[in-house]
Amino acid sequence: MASYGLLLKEINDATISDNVFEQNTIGINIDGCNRITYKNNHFIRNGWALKFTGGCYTNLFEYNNFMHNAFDLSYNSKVNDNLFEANYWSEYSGYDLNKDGIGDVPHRPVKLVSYIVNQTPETLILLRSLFVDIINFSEKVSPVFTPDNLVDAKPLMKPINQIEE
Amino acid sequence: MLKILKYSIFDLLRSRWSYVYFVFYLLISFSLFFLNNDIDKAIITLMNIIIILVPLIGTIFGVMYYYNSKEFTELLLAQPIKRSKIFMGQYIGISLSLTLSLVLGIGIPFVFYGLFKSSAIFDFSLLLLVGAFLNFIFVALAYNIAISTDNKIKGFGFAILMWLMFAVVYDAVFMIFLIKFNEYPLDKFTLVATMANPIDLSRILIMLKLDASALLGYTGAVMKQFYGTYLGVLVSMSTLSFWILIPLFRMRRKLRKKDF
Repeated sequence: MASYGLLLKEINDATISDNVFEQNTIGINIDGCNRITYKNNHFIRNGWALKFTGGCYTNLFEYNNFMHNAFDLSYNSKVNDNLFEANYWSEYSGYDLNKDGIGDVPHRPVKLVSYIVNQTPETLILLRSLFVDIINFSEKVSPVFTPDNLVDAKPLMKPINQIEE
Repeated sequence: MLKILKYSIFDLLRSRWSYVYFVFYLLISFSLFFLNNDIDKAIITLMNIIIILVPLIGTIFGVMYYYNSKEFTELLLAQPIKRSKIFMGQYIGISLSLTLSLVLGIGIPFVFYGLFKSSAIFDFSLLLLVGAFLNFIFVALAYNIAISTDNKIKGFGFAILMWLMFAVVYDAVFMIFLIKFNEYPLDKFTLVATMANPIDLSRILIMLKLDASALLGYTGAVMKQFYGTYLGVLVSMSTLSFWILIPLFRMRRKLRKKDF
Protein backbone atom coordinates (compact mmCIF):
# COMPACT_ATOMS: atom_id res chain seq x y z
CA MET A 1 0.00 0.00 0.00
CA ALA A 2 1.73 3.13 -1.26
CA SER A 3 1.26 5.96 -3.66
CA TYR A 4 3.04 4.08 -6.45
CA GLY A 5 3.42 0.34 -6.87
CA LEU A 6 5.89 0.41 -9.75
CA LEU A 7 7.25 3.25 -11.84
CA LEU A 8 8.46 2.27 -15.30
CA LYS A 9 10.24 4.71 -17.54
CA GLU A 10 11.66 3.73 -20.91
CA ILE A 11 11.96 0.09 -20.15
CA ASN A 12 11.95 -2.20 -23.18
CA ASP A 13 11.69 -5.94 -23.74
CA ALA A 14 10.88 -7.24 -20.29
CA THR A 15 8.43 -9.49 -18.52
CA ILE A 16 6.61 -8.45 -15.38
CA SER A 17 4.83 -11.36 -13.81
CA ASP A 18 3.34 -12.77 -10.61
CA ASN A 19 3.09 -9.55 -8.64
CA VAL A 20 0.39 -8.31 -6.32
CA PHE A 21 -0.40 -4.59 -6.40
CA GLU A 22 -2.79 -3.80 -3.61
CA GLN A 23 -4.24 -0.46 -2.53
CA ASN A 24 -1.83 1.84 -4.32
CA THR A 25 -2.82 5.18 -5.71
CA ILE A 26 -1.22 4.03 -8.97
CA GLY A 27 -0.39 0.36 -9.42
CA ILE A 28 2.01 0.69 -12.35
CA ASN A 29 2.90 4.00 -13.94
CA ILE A 30 4.05 3.25 -17.49
CA ASP A 31 6.00 5.88 -19.40
CA GLY A 32 7.47 5.11 -22.80
CA CYS A 33 7.85 1.40 -22.33
CA ASN A 34 7.76 -0.95 -25.29
CA ARG A 35 7.37 -4.67 -25.82
CA ILE A 36 6.79 -5.59 -22.19
CA THR A 37 4.74 -8.61 -21.24
CA TYR A 38 2.60 -8.32 -18.11
CA LYS A 39 1.41 -11.66 -16.97
CA ASN A 40 -0.25 -13.10 -13.88
CA ASN A 41 -0.28 -9.86 -11.94
CA HIS A 42 -2.98 -9.00 -9.45
CA PHE A 43 -4.24 -5.44 -9.23
CA ILE A 44 -6.48 -5.17 -6.21
CA ARG A 45 -8.27 -2.08 -4.94
CA ASN A 46 -5.90 0.46 -6.47
CA GLY A 47 -6.83 3.98 -7.47
CA TRP A 48 -5.44 3.43 -10.95
CA ALA A 49 -4.25 -0.07 -11.72
CA LEU A 50 -2.33 0.98 -14.83
CA LYS A 51 -1.54 4.51 -15.87
CA PHE A 52 -0.03 5.14 -19.30
CA THR A 53 1.68 8.49 -19.49
CA GLY A 54 3.70 8.35 -22.69
CA GLY A 55 3.96 6.53 -26.00
CA CYS A 56 3.86 2.86 -25.14
CA TYR A 57 3.81 0.36 -27.97
CA THR A 58 3.26 -3.35 -28.42
CA ASN A 59 2.93 -4.20 -24.77
CA LEU A 60 1.03 -7.34 -23.97
CA PHE A 61 -1.24 -7.81 -20.97
CA GLU A 62 -2.51 -11.30 -20.41
CA TYR A 63 -3.90 -13.31 -17.52
CA ASN A 64 -3.93 -10.44 -15.06
CA ASN A 65 -6.56 -9.84 -12.41
CA PHE A 66 -8.07 -6.37 -12.20
CA MET A 67 -10.23 -6.30 -9.11
CA HIS A 68 -12.13 -3.38 -7.61
CA ASN A 69 -9.83 -0.65 -8.83
CA ALA A 70 -11.34 2.80 -9.03
CA PHE A 71 -9.89 2.96 -12.55
CA ASP A 72 -8.49 -0.14 -14.20
CA LEU A 73 -6.72 1.78 -16.89
CA SER A 74 -5.96 5.35 -17.80
CA TYR A 75 -4.75 5.97 -21.32
CA ASN A 76 -3.71 9.30 -22.74
CA SER A 77 -3.52 8.84 -26.47
CA LYS A 78 -5.93 8.03 -29.26
CA VAL A 79 -3.70 5.42 -30.85
CA ASN A 80 -3.20 2.06 -29.28
CA ASP A 81 -1.35 -1.02 -30.31
CA ASN A 82 -1.02 -2.60 -26.91
CA LEU A 83 -2.78 -5.87 -26.64
CA PHE A 84 -5.05 -6.85 -23.76
CA GLU A 85 -6.12 -10.42 -23.82
CA ALA A 86 -7.62 -12.91 -21.41
CA ASN A 87 -7.52 -10.77 -18.28
CA TYR A 88 -10.07 -10.87 -15.52
CA TRP A 89 -11.88 -7.57 -14.92
CA SER A 90 -14.12 -7.40 -11.88
CA GLU A 91 -16.15 -4.72 -13.65
CA TYR A 92 -16.87 -6.85 -16.68
CA SER A 93 -20.61 -7.14 -17.17
CA GLY A 94 -20.79 -9.45 -20.18
CA TYR A 95 -21.96 -13.04 -20.41
CA ASP A 96 -20.59 -16.39 -21.46
CA LEU A 97 -23.14 -18.43 -23.41
CA ASN A 98 -20.94 -21.31 -24.52
CA LYS A 99 -19.42 -21.78 -21.06
CA ASP A 100 -15.79 -21.76 -22.13
CA GLY A 101 -14.80 -19.33 -19.40
CA ILE A 102 -14.31 -16.49 -21.88
CA GLY A 103 -16.80 -13.64 -22.04
CA ASP A 104 -18.61 -13.30 -25.36
CA VAL A 105 -18.63 -9.50 -25.33
CA PRO A 106 -15.33 -7.60 -25.47
CA HIS A 107 -14.53 -5.48 -22.42
CA ARG A 108 -13.55 -1.80 -22.64
CA PRO A 109 -11.37 -1.07 -19.63
CA VAL A 110 -10.96 2.69 -20.16
CA LYS A 111 -13.66 4.81 -18.60
CA LEU A 112 -14.53 8.22 -19.94
CA VAL A 113 -14.16 9.70 -16.50
CA SER A 114 -10.51 8.68 -16.30
CA TYR A 115 -9.90 11.07 -19.22
CA ILE A 116 -11.62 13.90 -17.45
CA VAL A 117 -9.79 13.16 -14.21
CA ASN A 118 -6.46 13.23 -16.06
CA GLN A 119 -7.14 16.75 -17.24
CA THR A 120 -8.85 18.09 -14.13
CA PRO A 121 -7.84 16.12 -11.04
CA GLU A 122 -10.44 17.88 -8.91
CA THR A 123 -13.22 16.00 -10.69
CA LEU A 124 -12.07 12.93 -8.82
CA ILE A 125 -14.46 14.05 -6.14
CA LEU A 126 -17.40 13.12 -8.36
CA LEU A 127 -16.31 9.49 -8.54
CA ARG A 128 -19.16 7.00 -8.11
CA SER A 129 -21.89 9.58 -8.49
CA LEU A 130 -24.91 8.83 -10.63
CA PHE A 131 -23.88 11.39 -13.24
CA VAL A 132 -20.45 9.84 -13.65
CA ASP A 133 -22.01 6.40 -13.98
CA ILE A 134 -24.28 7.72 -16.69
CA ILE A 135 -21.50 9.20 -18.80
CA ASN A 136 -19.37 6.09 -18.31
CA PHE A 137 -22.24 4.00 -19.52
CA SER A 138 -22.80 6.17 -22.58
CA GLU A 139 -19.11 5.92 -23.45
CA LYS A 140 -19.27 2.17 -23.05
CA VAL A 141 -22.19 1.89 -25.44
CA SER A 142 -20.75 4.20 -28.09
CA PRO A 143 -17.05 4.91 -27.59
CA VAL A 144 -15.97 8.36 -28.75
CA PHE A 145 -12.92 9.22 -26.68
CA THR A 146 -11.35 5.83 -26.07
CA PRO A 147 -9.33 4.18 -28.86
CA ASP A 148 -11.52 1.75 -30.76
CA ASN A 149 -9.17 -1.16 -30.42
CA LEU A 150 -8.41 -0.71 -26.73
CA VAL A 151 -10.47 -3.70 -25.75
CA ASP A 152 -10.01 -7.01 -24.10
CA ALA A 153 -11.53 -9.27 -26.72
CA LYS A 154 -11.41 -12.35 -24.52
CA PRO A 155 -12.14 -11.27 -20.94
CA LEU A 156 -12.13 -14.12 -18.46
CA MET A 157 -15.26 -14.89 -16.48
CA LYS A 158 -13.43 -16.07 -13.36
CA PRO A 159 -10.33 -14.60 -11.68
CA ILE A 160 -7.12 -16.46 -12.37
CA ASN A 161 -5.60 -18.60 -9.59
CA GLN A 162 -7.30 -16.70 -6.84
CA ILE A 163 -4.98 -15.58 -4.08
CA GLU A 164 -5.96 -16.10 -0.48
CA GLU A 165 -6.21 -12.99 1.63
CA MET B 1 -47.24 16.08 18.90
CA LEU B 2 -46.34 12.68 20.30
CA LYS B 3 -49.90 11.51 19.86
CA ILE B 4 -49.94 12.56 16.21
CA LEU B 5 -46.54 11.01 15.73
CA LYS B 6 -47.91 7.79 17.19
CA TYR B 7 -50.98 7.86 14.95
CA SER B 8 -49.02 8.54 11.79
CA ILE B 9 -46.55 5.78 12.61
CA PHE B 10 -49.33 3.29 13.24
CA ASP B 11 -51.08 4.44 10.10
CA LEU B 12 -47.89 3.89 8.09
CA LEU B 13 -47.16 0.56 9.72
CA ARG B 14 -50.63 -0.57 8.70
CA SER B 15 -50.18 0.62 5.15
CA ARG B 16 -48.76 -1.58 2.45
CA TRP B 17 -45.96 0.74 1.38
CA SER B 18 -43.64 0.54 4.37
CA TYR B 19 -43.71 -3.23 4.02
CA VAL B 20 -43.03 -2.99 0.31
CA TYR B 21 -39.94 -0.87 1.01
CA PHE B 22 -38.87 -3.14 3.84
CA VAL B 23 -39.15 -6.25 1.66
CA PHE B 24 -37.44 -4.44 -1.21
CA TYR B 25 -34.40 -3.51 0.89
CA LEU B 26 -34.42 -6.96 2.45
CA LEU B 27 -34.43 -8.74 -0.90
CA ILE B 28 -31.72 -6.56 -2.38
CA SER B 29 -29.35 -6.89 0.52
CA PHE B 30 -30.00 -10.60 1.01
CA SER B 31 -29.26 -11.28 -2.64
CA LEU B 32 -26.21 -9.05 -2.44
CA PHE B 33 -24.76 -10.76 0.59
CA PHE B 34 -25.60 -14.33 -0.27
CA LEU B 35 -25.36 -14.59 -4.04
CA ASN B 36 -22.26 -12.49 -4.19
CA ASN B 37 -19.20 -13.83 -2.44
CA ASP B 38 -17.53 -10.47 -2.87
CA ILE B 39 -18.09 -8.15 0.09
CA ASP B 40 -16.42 -5.20 -1.62
CA LYS B 41 -18.83 -5.34 -4.51
CA ALA B 42 -21.79 -5.75 -2.16
CA ILE B 43 -20.90 -2.67 -0.14
CA ILE B 44 -20.39 -0.57 -3.27
CA THR B 45 -23.78 -1.60 -4.64
CA LEU B 46 -25.32 -0.91 -1.25
CA MET B 47 -23.78 2.54 -1.31
CA ASN B 48 -25.32 3.22 -4.70
CA ILE B 49 -28.70 2.14 -3.36
CA ILE B 50 -28.45 4.38 -0.35
CA ILE B 51 -27.24 7.38 -2.30
CA ILE B 52 -29.73 7.19 -5.15
CA LEU B 53 -32.75 5.23 -4.04
CA VAL B 54 -33.15 6.47 -0.49
CA PRO B 55 -33.58 10.12 -1.54
CA LEU B 56 -35.91 9.11 -4.37
CA ILE B 57 -38.08 6.96 -2.15
CA GLY B 58 -38.07 9.58 0.61
CA THR B 59 -39.16 12.28 -1.83
CA ILE B 60 -41.95 10.33 -3.48
CA PHE B 61 -43.22 8.87 -0.24
CA GLY B 62 -43.24 12.25 1.47
CA VAL B 63 -45.26 13.90 -1.28
CA MET B 64 -47.58 10.91 -1.60
CA TYR B 65 -48.29 10.77 2.13
CA TYR B 66 -49.07 14.47 2.33
CA TYR B 67 -51.58 14.39 -0.50
CA ASN B 68 -53.18 11.14 0.63
CA SER B 69 -53.67 12.18 4.22
CA LYS B 70 -54.79 15.67 3.33
CA GLU B 71 -58.42 15.15 4.31
CA PHE B 72 -57.50 13.68 7.66
CA THR B 73 -55.06 16.53 8.22
CA GLU B 74 -57.81 19.03 7.55
CA LEU B 75 -59.96 17.28 10.10
CA LEU B 76 -57.14 17.50 12.62
CA LEU B 77 -56.70 21.18 11.85
CA ALA B 78 -60.26 21.78 12.99
CA GLN B 79 -59.25 20.57 16.46
CA PRO B 80 -57.49 22.81 18.95
CA ILE B 81 -54.02 21.57 18.11
CA LYS B 82 -51.11 23.69 16.93
CA ARG B 83 -50.49 23.48 13.19
CA SER B 84 -46.77 23.01 13.52
CA LYS B 85 -47.34 20.11 15.91
CA ILE B 86 -49.59 18.27 13.47
CA PHE B 87 -47.16 18.55 10.61
CA MET B 88 -44.05 17.89 12.68
CA GLY B 89 -45.74 14.76 14.00
CA GLN B 90 -46.53 13.57 10.50
CA TYR B 91 -43.06 14.44 9.22
CA ILE B 92 -41.25 12.59 11.98
CA GLY B 93 -43.65 9.68 11.58
CA ILE B 94 -42.86 9.24 7.88
CA SER B 95 -39.14 9.71 8.28
CA LEU B 96 -38.98 7.27 11.19
CA SER B 97 -40.96 4.57 9.44
CA LEU B 98 -38.86 4.90 6.26
CA THR B 99 -35.66 4.80 8.29
CA LEU B 100 -36.98 1.76 10.11
CA SER B 101 -37.60 -0.02 6.80
CA LEU B 102 -34.10 0.87 5.66
CA VAL B 103 -32.30 -0.10 8.84
CA LEU B 104 -34.19 -3.36 9.29
CA GLY B 105 -34.16 -4.22 5.59
CA ILE B 106 -30.42 -3.86 5.28
CA GLY B 107 -29.53 -4.66 8.88
CA ILE B 108 -31.19 -8.08 9.13
CA PRO B 109 -29.20 -9.66 6.27
CA PHE B 110 -26.13 -8.03 7.70
CA VAL B 111 -26.65 -9.67 11.07
CA PHE B 112 -27.45 -13.01 9.43
CA TYR B 113 -24.29 -12.83 7.43
CA GLY B 114 -22.37 -12.53 10.68
CA LEU B 115 -20.62 -9.29 9.94
CA PHE B 116 -21.10 -8.17 13.51
CA LYS B 117 -17.78 -9.65 14.39
CA SER B 118 -15.99 -8.33 11.33
CA SER B 119 -14.34 -4.97 10.97
CA ALA B 120 -16.92 -3.87 8.40
CA ILE B 121 -19.30 -2.99 11.20
CA PHE B 122 -18.02 0.58 11.42
CA ASP B 123 -18.34 1.26 7.68
CA PHE B 124 -21.72 -0.36 7.72
CA SER B 125 -23.07 1.75 10.56
CA LEU B 126 -21.83 4.85 8.74
CA LEU B 127 -23.78 3.63 5.70
CA LEU B 128 -26.95 3.30 7.77
CA LEU B 129 -26.42 6.63 9.52
CA VAL B 130 -26.01 8.42 6.19
CA GLY B 131 -29.09 6.61 4.87
CA ALA B 132 -31.11 7.78 7.86
CA PHE B 133 -29.94 11.37 7.37
CA LEU B 134 -30.88 11.27 3.69
CA ASN B 135 -34.33 9.96 4.58
CA PHE B 136 -34.97 12.80 6.99
CA ILE B 137 -33.59 15.43 4.60
CA PHE B 138 -35.56 14.37 1.56
CA VAL B 139 -38.84 13.83 3.36
CA ALA B 140 -38.46 17.36 4.74
CA LEU B 141 -37.80 18.75 1.27
CA ALA B 142 -40.72 16.78 -0.16
CA TYR B 143 -43.05 18.10 2.54
CA ASN B 144 -41.95 21.61 1.70
CA ILE B 145 -42.87 21.10 -1.92
CA ALA B 146 -46.17 19.44 -1.10
CA ILE B 147 -47.19 22.25 1.24
CA SER B 148 -46.27 24.88 -1.32
CA THR B 149 -48.61 23.58 -3.98
CA ASP B 150 -52.09 22.09 -3.75
CA ASN B 151 -51.94 20.65 -7.23
CA LYS B 152 -50.99 16.98 -6.93
CA ILE B 153 -49.45 16.65 -10.38
CA LYS B 154 -47.43 19.81 -9.90
CA GLY B 155 -46.27 18.62 -6.49
CA PHE B 156 -45.07 15.27 -7.80
CA GLY B 157 -43.42 16.94 -10.77
CA PHE B 158 -41.49 19.37 -8.60
CA ALA B 159 -40.50 16.61 -6.19
CA ILE B 160 -39.05 14.41 -8.93
CA LEU B 161 -37.35 17.42 -10.46
CA MET B 162 -35.80 18.25 -7.11
CA TRP B 163 -34.45 14.73 -6.77
CA LEU B 164 -33.07 14.88 -10.30
CA MET B 165 -31.37 18.19 -9.53
CA PHE B 166 -29.61 16.85 -6.47
CA ALA B 167 -28.76 13.45 -7.88
CA VAL B 168 -27.63 14.25 -11.43
CA VAL B 169 -27.84 17.85 -12.62
CA TYR B 170 -25.89 19.30 -9.71
CA ASP B 171 -22.97 16.96 -10.38
CA ALA B 172 -23.05 17.74 -14.08
CA VAL B 173 -22.89 21.48 -13.49
CA PHE B 174 -20.24 20.96 -10.84
CA MET B 175 -18.10 18.94 -13.22
CA ILE B 176 -18.43 21.49 -16.06
CA PHE B 177 -17.47 24.21 -13.63
CA LEU B 178 -14.39 22.29 -12.48
CA ILE B 179 -13.28 21.67 -16.07
CA LYS B 180 -13.82 25.27 -17.17
CA PHE B 181 -12.01 26.83 -14.24
CA ASN B 182 -9.24 24.31 -13.78
CA GLU B 183 -6.53 26.99 -13.96
CA TYR B 184 -7.68 28.38 -10.64
CA PRO B 185 -7.14 26.80 -7.23
CA LEU B 186 -10.35 24.91 -6.66
CA ASP B 187 -9.73 23.06 -3.41
CA LYS B 188 -11.81 25.32 -1.20
CA PHE B 189 -14.52 25.62 -3.81
CA THR B 190 -14.78 21.84 -4.13
CA LEU B 191 -15.16 21.46 -0.39
CA VAL B 192 -17.92 24.07 -0.22
CA ALA B 193 -19.69 22.74 -3.32
CA THR B 194 -19.81 19.22 -1.94
CA MET B 195 -21.26 20.54 1.30
CA ALA B 196 -24.05 22.25 -0.60
CA ASN B 197 -25.56 18.99 -1.81
CA PRO B 198 -26.56 16.37 0.77
CA ILE B 199 -26.23 13.51 -1.74
CA ASP B 200 -22.68 14.52 -2.66
CA LEU B 201 -21.74 14.97 0.95
CA SER B 202 -23.00 11.52 1.93
CA ARG B 203 -21.31 9.97 -1.09
CA ILE B 204 -17.97 11.48 -0.12
CA LEU B 205 -18.32 10.42 3.51
CA ILE B 206 -18.83 6.82 2.40
CA MET B 207 -16.30 6.98 -0.42
CA LEU B 208 -13.51 8.08 1.90
CA LYS B 209 -13.94 4.73 3.60
CA LEU B 210 -14.08 2.69 0.38
CA ASP B 211 -11.85 4.33 -2.21
CA ALA B 212 -9.12 5.59 0.06
CA SER B 213 -6.43 4.59 -2.41
CA ALA B 214 -7.82 6.52 -5.36
CA LEU B 215 -8.17 9.54 -3.16
CA LEU B 216 -4.57 9.50 -2.03
CA GLY B 217 -3.69 11.64 -5.03
CA TYR B 218 -3.44 15.31 -4.25
CA THR B 219 -7.12 16.19 -4.65
CA GLY B 220 -7.87 13.31 -2.38
CA ALA B 221 -5.32 14.46 0.11
CA VAL B 222 -7.11 17.77 0.51
CA MET B 223 -10.40 15.96 0.99
CA LYS B 224 -8.98 13.45 3.38
CA GLN B 225 -7.29 16.17 5.38
CA PHE B 226 -10.63 17.80 5.89
CA TYR B 227 -13.19 15.00 6.07
CA GLY B 228 -10.84 12.54 7.70
CA THR B 229 -10.42 14.57 10.88
CA TYR B 230 -12.84 14.88 13.76
CA LEU B 231 -13.49 18.47 12.75
CA GLY B 232 -14.41 17.33 9.25
CA VAL B 233 -16.79 14.67 10.51
CA LEU B 234 -18.32 17.17 12.90
CA VAL B 235 -18.75 19.79 10.17
CA SER B 236 -20.27 17.32 7.70
CA MET B 237 -22.65 15.88 10.28
CA SER B 238 -23.80 19.36 11.27
CA THR B 239 -24.20 20.30 7.60
CA LEU B 240 -26.43 17.27 7.17
CA SER B 241 -28.41 18.36 10.23
CA PHE B 242 -28.76 21.84 8.73
CA TRP B 243 -30.18 20.21 5.65
CA ILE B 244 -32.94 18.85 7.88
CA LEU B 245 -33.44 21.99 9.96
CA ILE B 246 -33.64 24.59 7.18
CA PRO B 247 -36.48 22.90 5.25
CA LEU B 248 -38.30 22.33 8.54
CA PHE B 249 -37.92 25.99 9.44
CA ARG B 250 -39.27 27.03 6.06
CA MET B 251 -42.12 24.56 6.44
CA ARG B 252 -43.11 26.14 9.75
CA ARG B 253 -43.12 29.62 8.28
CA LYS B 254 -45.10 28.50 5.27
CA LEU B 255 -47.63 26.72 7.48
CA ARG B 256 -48.34 29.80 9.53
CA LYS B 257 -49.69 31.63 6.49
CA LYS B 258 -51.23 28.77 4.56
CA ASP B 259 -54.96 28.64 3.87
CA PHE B 260 -56.45 25.18 4.14
